[in-house]
Amino acid sequence: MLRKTGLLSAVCLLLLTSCSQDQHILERIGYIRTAGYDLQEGGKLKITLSVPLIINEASQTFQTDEILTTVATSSKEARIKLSRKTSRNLVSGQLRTILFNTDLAKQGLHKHMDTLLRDPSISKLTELVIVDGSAHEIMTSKYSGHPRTAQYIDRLLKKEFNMETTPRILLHEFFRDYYDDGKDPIATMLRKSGNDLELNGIALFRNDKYITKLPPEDIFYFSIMYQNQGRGEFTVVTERPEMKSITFTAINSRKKIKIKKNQNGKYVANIGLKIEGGVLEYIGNLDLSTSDKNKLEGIMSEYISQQAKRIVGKLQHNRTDSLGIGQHVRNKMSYKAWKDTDWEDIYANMDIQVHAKFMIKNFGNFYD
Amino acid sequence: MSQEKLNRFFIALMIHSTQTGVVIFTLPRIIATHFGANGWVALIIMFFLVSLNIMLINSVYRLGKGQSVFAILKSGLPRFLLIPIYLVLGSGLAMVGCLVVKQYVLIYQMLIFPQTPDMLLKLVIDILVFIFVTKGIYTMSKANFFFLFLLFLMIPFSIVFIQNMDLSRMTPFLFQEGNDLGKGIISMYGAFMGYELSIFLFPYAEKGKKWLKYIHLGNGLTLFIYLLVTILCFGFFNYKELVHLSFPLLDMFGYLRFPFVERIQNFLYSFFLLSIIFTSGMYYWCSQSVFTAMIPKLHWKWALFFLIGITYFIAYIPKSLIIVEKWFGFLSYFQLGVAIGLPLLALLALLLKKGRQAHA
Repeated sequence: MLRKTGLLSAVCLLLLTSCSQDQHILERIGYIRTAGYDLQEGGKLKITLSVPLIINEASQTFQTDEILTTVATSSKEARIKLSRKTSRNLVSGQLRTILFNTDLAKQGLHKHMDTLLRDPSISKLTELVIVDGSAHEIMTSKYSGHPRTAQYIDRLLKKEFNMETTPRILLHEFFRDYYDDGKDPIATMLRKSGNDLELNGIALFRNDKYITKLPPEDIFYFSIMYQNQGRGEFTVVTERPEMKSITFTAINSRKKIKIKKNQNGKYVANIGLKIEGGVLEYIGNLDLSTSDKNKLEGIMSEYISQQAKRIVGKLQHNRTDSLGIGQHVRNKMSYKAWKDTDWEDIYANMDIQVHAKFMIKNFGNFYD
Repeated sequence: MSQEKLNRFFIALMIHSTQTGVVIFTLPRIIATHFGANGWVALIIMFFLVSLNIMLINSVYRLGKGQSVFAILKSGLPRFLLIPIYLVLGSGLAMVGCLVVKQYVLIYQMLIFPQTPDMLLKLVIDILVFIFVTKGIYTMSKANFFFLFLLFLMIPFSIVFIQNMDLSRMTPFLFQEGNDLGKGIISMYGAFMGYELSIFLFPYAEKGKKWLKYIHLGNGLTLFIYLLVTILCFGFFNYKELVHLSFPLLDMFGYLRFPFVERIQNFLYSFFLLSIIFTSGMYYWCSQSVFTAMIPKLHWKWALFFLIGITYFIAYIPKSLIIVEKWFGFLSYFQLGVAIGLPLLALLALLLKKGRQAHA
């Protein structure tokens, strides 16, 4: 018995020595945290990589991140070129955010995304961001009053996703919707605004090409049509004396998309929204504790329906099926009918109705 | 001689464990490629075909009155015919056991240890398999219960994935945009392979016919797990994206995020080592039982040692995942032969024996 275990442990020890090729000493590895892509002349890419420094080295260099920039045709070529400049082994396993410049996104992102799918170390939970302006400039700027840039970007996005102020779009959702012929992908937009970074809307894609964007004011109305919301806040400002300004919190919404055929045989979509929220701020001449509450709910329902319809109109005009109406229409057709359909054309001219029903859950601490 | 008998429920778990393996990682992609939209329905059809085959094996047990398959063959067929059959059978089973480990190791190397030679990882796992099998079939079956318990702990994760599923993503179409249906059927049948080893368990199971139903239970458990994984993948991704994902289950696991650790997909993949050790161990155990039946004087542990050793060196030949999958394609035909041919051969032997007795 003793001889057996001894023999086995000797064999194991012998094997352990040859396992040294896959060592991962943390201080010697450069974990790329953020990657930015800009378009250069000649179809090349300007690739910026941000690699956090460990505290020891950071205190020596007075920098928190190592920024590496180069011009290359592909991201892995850039990584190989940049590894000649750094003392650490560059790996992509901790990639948190990828920034694409709008000009690059307009050309189509699919060929740049090959390595994001192929490399097993890159997680599908990586955030995908389209930036107005240069990704390099955003990554190399220092934002006083904010954490170090790479962390600032990552935390800003994660917070927005968690608070459901904007739909959570990671690589997984982008690829899934890109491959789906009944839906077009979307992405979050970021821009530099003075000394801060700002969430700048939602980028609308047709297949993999960036077409246009929705401004930040429209994000809420798009979001409630895109998914069921469990939390969030939004503000409405109008000229009407009943509703000069009103802010809701703790938003809970349900959406339902129904497809029907009208008399002409054309498809009609009906987006039904049920939203409820609590009032946080109200500037207007109504008393919320009386039957005025129902009046306000009616005004809000109409307002939300109008705004949502306007956004749907914009999506249709740009032929970006970001809400996935195509998926619902596909459910009503046979395979042959769906294949013979020019969905983009039908979508652009389709009659899409939005009906929102708003309910005020509570009106806060103030009784009026 | 009173011998410990294999528990019926453990036999079901053993059959299930032998059937599932690395294929669970590639199955959604194979189904999406060859069967197209909602191709998971084909799994149910395959299940019924496999059930028919299991009934064939059960009939051998019934007509042979619980004898071991080697005893049946020996009493019916002449020795000079049996020797080459046993040789092919034993070698083929050992090769399957070897390639199962090789495939797991190549994927493991791609994910976690890119610079380490895969044969080194295979050597470590082969030592584990040897230690596992030398404990005997009863201990193997008890250990398997523990292995499956650990693997089934992962099933609650499906609740997270169901939240991300969207039924409209699954489309109302059936079997559209698949190609190469023949290859798809062979691959899917290969995914269910493992039940044919139940023919070697005859002398270790209890007397009576009740335990035969438990082979069906094992097969049903396999169907349940395959359906769960495939339907989740079809809803989580869509069938067009699945075609491009090498290991959809790993990508799905990659979506899990715990507060204390970011990505556990590689760790979860390591759990499947338990399933691989059992599958490989079972095939090696059956292989050594064939050789021991052929050469009674050979001690079974030595037979096992030589089988694992020789197949280890043969495993040097396929160097990439694609070549291993090609070899598996050939071996699927062999496995099909064992699954259908061996019971038929046994029935033939029984018929010949009866014929001889009637004339005697």
